[in-house]
Amino acid sequence: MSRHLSSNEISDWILKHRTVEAEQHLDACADCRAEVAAFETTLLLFRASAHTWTDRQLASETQTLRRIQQAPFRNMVQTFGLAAAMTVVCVLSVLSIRQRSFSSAPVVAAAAELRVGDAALLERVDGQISQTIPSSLAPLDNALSWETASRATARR
Amino acid sequence: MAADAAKEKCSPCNRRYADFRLNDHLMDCAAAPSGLLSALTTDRAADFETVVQLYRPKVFRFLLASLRDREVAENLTQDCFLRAYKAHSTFRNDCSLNTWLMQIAVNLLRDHLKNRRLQFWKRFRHTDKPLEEEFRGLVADQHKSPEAQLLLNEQVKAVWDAAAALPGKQQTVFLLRFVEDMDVADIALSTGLKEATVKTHLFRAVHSVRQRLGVQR
Repeated sequence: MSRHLSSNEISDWILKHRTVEAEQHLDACADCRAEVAAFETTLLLFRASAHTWTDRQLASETQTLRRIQQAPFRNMVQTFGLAAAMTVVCVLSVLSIRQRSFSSAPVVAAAAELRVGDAALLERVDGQISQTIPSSLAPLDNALSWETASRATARR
Repeated sequence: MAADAAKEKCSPCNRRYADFRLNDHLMDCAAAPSGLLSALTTDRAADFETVVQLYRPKVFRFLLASLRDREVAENLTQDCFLRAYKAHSTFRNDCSLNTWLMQIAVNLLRDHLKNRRLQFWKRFRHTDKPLEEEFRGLVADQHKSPEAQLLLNEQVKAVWDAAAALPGKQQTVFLLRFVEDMDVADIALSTGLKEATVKTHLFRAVHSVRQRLGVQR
């Protein structure tokens, strides 16, 4: 076979429909051999790319599935964590309230004492105020009472 | 499992493997999958889970390559295994489990593509979200220069574009052949087409892809 293999003959060769003439030509012709090899390589790479693409898709799917499967466990951990944190906060607040009530007891007692003292002082002051006019101020009191008595007489 | 006993030999097909990996072997073993599915009668749920683990990536890959839409591909993959689970009693062992599942997947894909309303949304989504980012870096070869790497990526992208532009049946047989590495007989069983028809579709698809790649002879 002197001429190069036609496109149809190369397609036949690729599809394993091989004739003796084509085989002999490929043994002798480097150009046709290179072309057949290049096309076979391209088809192999096409196959490899399909496998790689699928593997990638399946791998990402597996990751997604793993995330979904781990989600309930993660949620459970979050829930328990939240519950534990709330318990700790409650316990701490109860403790602090108790501590505050214990520490405020002496203050309350002191305040009560102070209040009793204040009441006694006020009582003393009231008593002094309500006492009769001291002897040093008696003339002034008499004068005032004389003026008011004479004015009343004049009006009459 | 029958293949697990000898560790380096698969009992159903009696082949020995230097680097024996049960799961990888079961994908291709023509004898083992029928046993795998018949085992469903004893412990259906557990064994069907094994079936799903083994074949889900293949079914999903085919649907993703066909539709280029992850969400729809996932839904159809689930539908495929749901149908398989419901109809496993009708599996007659006349083909491998892989071929049977692919048959269900092809039917689901065909039904999906028939829905014109979804076609509109599919076109809308494709124009809305370019796939260049999805394909970027899918082909990585550290031994190549950046320029050569870029050229390879462009060529692979061109094949994806060419495959997307193929008519329905051509696209399906092209992807089953060159992504799933299935032979013509299995493709014929999966698609319900005659082997000669599959060969014709494959030939036309390869020719179209070569044209798209700019190869002129």
